[in-house]
Amino acid sequence: MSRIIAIGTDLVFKPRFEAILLRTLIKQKINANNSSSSNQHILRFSSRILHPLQELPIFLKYYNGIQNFIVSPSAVASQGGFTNSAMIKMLSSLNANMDNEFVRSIEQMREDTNFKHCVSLLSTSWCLKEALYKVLDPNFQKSGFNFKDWYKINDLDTGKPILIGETYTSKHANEEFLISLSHDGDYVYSVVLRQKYNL
Amino acid sequence: MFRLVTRSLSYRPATVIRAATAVARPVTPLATRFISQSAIRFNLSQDASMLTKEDVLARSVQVLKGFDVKTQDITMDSKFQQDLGFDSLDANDALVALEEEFDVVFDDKFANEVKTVGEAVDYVLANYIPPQQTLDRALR
Repeated sequence: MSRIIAIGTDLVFKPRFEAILLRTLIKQKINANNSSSSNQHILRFSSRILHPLQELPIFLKYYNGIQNFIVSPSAVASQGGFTNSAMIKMLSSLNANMDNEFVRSIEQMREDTNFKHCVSLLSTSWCLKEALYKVLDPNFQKSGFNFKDWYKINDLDTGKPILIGETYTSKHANEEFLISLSHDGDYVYSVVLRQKYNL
Repeated sequence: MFRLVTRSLSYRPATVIRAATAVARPVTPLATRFISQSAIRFNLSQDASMLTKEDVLARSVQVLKGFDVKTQDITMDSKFQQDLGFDSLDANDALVALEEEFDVVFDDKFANEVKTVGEAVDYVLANYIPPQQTLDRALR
């Protein structure tokens, strides 16, 4: 006998993650000679979201493979600084400004496969875990839930995604999470269904 | 295990003494060997290694203004969600930016529960560790 307890969903606009990555890459470039500034935004950010053993190493491998790109500080300053919305606005109007050197370098970065993998990993992971959060009990949501305790793998035979949270499952062995993902261009969508078996 | 790796990454030694905040006070027992002569030379009137609430708030506001905030008037009572208009992704991003600014780590429990700028400021004050100072030239 199984009973559906809750359902959760989330929609993610991928350029938001692109903007975060681009913003930090540019900042790193500009602060390359400034040893007193910290350059760990992406490491900290991704460590919060991704599972330390199952997801983070893969992400870091791609992140470290991102090719350098050229950007001059004055070009950045003239583009409205580092805010995410300024970045997103620029990303959505790239074709109109393709003669701008800075814009061209951003476009090049977006085409970089390692960059795309990074964005994909982050956005998919975030999307799933946000949907998952919504199906959990309120008291677990408040204390006990962490993004980085969970990870997604795909069934080797069917390719279907599976969500695993080892600590949670050890305490709630009769619960199961069914998940599904969908991608379309700049959007990722996920749905999570929480089901309980009466043992 | 990974937690240890990220922690050690964040405690990087400063390789330059920031001109405006040179400090003679040792910050760890290990550093007592490296007590510099700077206090005599720089004639400090304020212990620059400890931050005040105003410092932290001012720097936090500076960091937060780099995000797309609903209002430019950011105070201790500003709520991340209602006043600044952050959703959970923005809040995460903003918290990490604050971690970068002050080289602190917000633990998971706090990160889940934090609601206002003031709470973050208080956490930073409670957990701030001033950067390690380099050896004074005369002692090397």
